[in-house]
Amino acid sequence: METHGVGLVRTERLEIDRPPELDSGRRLERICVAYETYGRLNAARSNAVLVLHALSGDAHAAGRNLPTDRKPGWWDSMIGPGKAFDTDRYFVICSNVLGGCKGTTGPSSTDPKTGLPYAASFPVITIRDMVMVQNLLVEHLGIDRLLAVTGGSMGGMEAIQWLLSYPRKVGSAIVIAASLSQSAQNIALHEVGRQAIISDPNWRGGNYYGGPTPSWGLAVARMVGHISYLSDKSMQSKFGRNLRNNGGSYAFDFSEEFEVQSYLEHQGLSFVKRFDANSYLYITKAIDYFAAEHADAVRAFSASEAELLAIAFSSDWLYPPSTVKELLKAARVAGRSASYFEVPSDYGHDAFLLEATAQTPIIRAFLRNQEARTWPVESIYI
Amino acid sequence: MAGRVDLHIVRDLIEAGSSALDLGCGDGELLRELARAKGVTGQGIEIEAGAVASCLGKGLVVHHGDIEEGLGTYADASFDYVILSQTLQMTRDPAFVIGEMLRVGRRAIVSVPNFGHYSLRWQLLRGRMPVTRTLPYEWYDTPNIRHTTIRDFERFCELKGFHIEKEVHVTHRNRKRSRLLANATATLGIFVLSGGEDEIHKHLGDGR
Repeated sequence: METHGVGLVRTERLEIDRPPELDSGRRLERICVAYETYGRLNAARSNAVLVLHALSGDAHAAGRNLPTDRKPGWWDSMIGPGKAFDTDRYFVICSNVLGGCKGTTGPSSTDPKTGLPYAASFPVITIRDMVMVQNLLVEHLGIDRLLAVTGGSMGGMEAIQWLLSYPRKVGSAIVIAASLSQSAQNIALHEVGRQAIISDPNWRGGNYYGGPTPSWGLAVARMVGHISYLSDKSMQSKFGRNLRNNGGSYAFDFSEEFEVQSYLEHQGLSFVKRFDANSYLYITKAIDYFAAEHADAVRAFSASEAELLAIAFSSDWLYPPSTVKELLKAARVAGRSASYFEVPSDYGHDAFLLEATAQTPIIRAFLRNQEARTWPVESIYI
Repeated sequence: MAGRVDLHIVRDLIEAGSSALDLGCGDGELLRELARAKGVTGQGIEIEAGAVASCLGKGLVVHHGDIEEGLGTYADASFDYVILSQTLQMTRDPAFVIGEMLRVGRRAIVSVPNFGHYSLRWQLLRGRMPVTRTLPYEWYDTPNIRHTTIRDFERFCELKGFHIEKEVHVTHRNRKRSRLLANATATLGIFVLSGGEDEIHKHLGDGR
């Protein structure tokens, strides 16, 4: 299917000693950041696009790490030569978030003080902490101003946080399927997932490293998550009431009978092979803490010259179009240029990963306009 | 600027160097023309996805959605003008839409097809629902649900407290007609409206 991509890529690592204090008031001794880059940074260092991943994503956004990799990076449909984030034009950066389990320091990393995994002693982190670490990476790469920050879902929240934390370093933000603040319903869904992990007997207060992992708890958490990423319509058309046995008769027991059951279980069990249960707790908590007030967002947009492109998906009930528009209102009150595009899609929240064809011309056109913008000299040196 | 005669007139009505929001901006034809001819900074609202992509491709700022919903995302007095071209007759609540236009913009420019044009009257006299170049639909597939004549629209503005600053009548042949004949001979009326704070809030209610 993939004919044209960024090819083989290597995940790089940056070690940050004595990073700043976290939102919680706690400090980490050092932070390792896993990141990948695609395309070339131009001489003016003005073509960098920071891509921000969602809850279960990682630094590997495009291409393959090994020629034998079965699948490319998580947003390969959008990043590459001629794609929405055109690597012939832009220098694309993606890093694993703080608290993650894919190379960046998180609860499964070794605490230099004890020589043991942090586990539950890892500080509770926020989206702002994640962005603080990303900013250190961007500084390390020698970039003063990003042409764009972009991401979907949690990645969209990170993009919003970039505007709040570093308004003058962001030339534009493409916020996809994300809201200014996490809703009660979404917190509730996360809480079911966390309770599934915590009540797994293998969780043991988070100290499961080196022993059996709370994999069933994590699988159930992923199942709940997965339901929220789809839409009623997409589930109905994909599974309906189909039964796994072809005879179509009920077993009158609690076995895995409906196809949707086996789909969920497959999703849950394949997730535990690639994700750490404690990271799931920490990252969902960070998302739940995210609440940018309208007034804060207006202030951030006022302090920034960033243009906004907000994208929503019609069937997304996790971050529905109505919540995405709250961000638009804040940008517009602040007098910023803000465009909005609503993709008609049945894929639910997952559409931000699946609807590449619909998003590509929109993002491509928006980014071209950003390239053409000029900046007052004094605003570059901040 | 092919096809739509009112776009030229709208262009002539707008002050140079002003800002404008075009409701139902299509592929951004008018906004581009306004930028080129008058140095107008424009944005648009458009419901058709392909047209939105074209707008972005032209470097325009655009909101993908319907007019009433889109207007709700803009702050008070964001633009000098809000433009609604031959679409008011498709809205469910024209007073609300104009109220919103005058909240978001200092002035509203509204063009409405004239249902009082003699050719429509003639078709009605013959017992048929009018179908014309400006109103090209059959009764069963028309999106136009709020037909008005120029005289009715003037009455409506008076009733709702929208102040008509300027009024232009368009006919097939030429643009100028006497006020007396306009209601029978104009195909289109173009109105520049403004409204005092009181009037606007009366229409918007407490919900904002």
